[in-house]
Amino acid sequence: MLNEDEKEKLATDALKRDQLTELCTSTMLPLSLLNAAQNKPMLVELKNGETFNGHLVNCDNFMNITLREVYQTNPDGDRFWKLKECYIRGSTIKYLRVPDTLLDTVKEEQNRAREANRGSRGTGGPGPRGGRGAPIRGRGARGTPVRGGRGRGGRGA
Amino acid sequence: MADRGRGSARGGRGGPSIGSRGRGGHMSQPSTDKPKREAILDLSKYSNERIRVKFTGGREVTGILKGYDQLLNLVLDEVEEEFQEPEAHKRNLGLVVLRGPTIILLSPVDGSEEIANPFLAQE
Repeated sequence: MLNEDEKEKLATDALKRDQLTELCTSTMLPLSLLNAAQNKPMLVELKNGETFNGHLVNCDNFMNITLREVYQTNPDGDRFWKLKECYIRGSTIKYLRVPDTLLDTVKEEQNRAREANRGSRGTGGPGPRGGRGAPIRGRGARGTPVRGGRGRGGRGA
Repeated sequence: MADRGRGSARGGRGGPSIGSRGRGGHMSQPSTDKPKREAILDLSKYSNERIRVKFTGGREVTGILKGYDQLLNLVLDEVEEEFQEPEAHKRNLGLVVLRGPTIILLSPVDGSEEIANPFLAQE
């Protein structure tokens, strides 16, 4: 049998694991990333092999995009054009290369948004999130009988 | 009796319905979130300007923008179709309606030019 301290430790461990997986598996939607890339430099390759290097001005949910200060390269990569701006139809895009740092920026923003969301709900009343969140701050063993039970069952088997 | 009955019935029907309609209307107006579908390209800034348009399949034209709609169908005047094969040449098409869904690229001719490899200098 486990004493109270051990139970509490298991419960909090389980919670930490859950929070970690929630963080890691939080989805990075392609169009969210693209939306966050506004005013950032990017490379767009079309299905026909043409590439466009420029700063993203705007995009929509079809992945249609507008770029400014664009360097266009032909499919063979031996001719180049400078365009002031251009509009590209989303359905013709093969891929877009965006700055690596964008990923961190967007994840940070997502986390901040999630925290803000939690905060506002928490003060609003005992919502499902508040109920789940509560055990972290001290009520671990009592607050999470289900998780504790599952954890022990798993280990026993 | 009949009058009163009808009157009350009307009143009964009218009262709540007006109330609910009023409330419903009031509630629905703020909640009707327009699916903010603004065009990401304002074609009016290219009006009467020469633009370059590429189509699926590889054809390419330039022309002076005379009209457009939200589907990106365009009306271009003094259209020149430009060919690279077998050698670079043009043909004049005059006034043309371009079908939006086949357009893959659109850019103003003004401020665009062929240049030497700009990426060699950077590396």
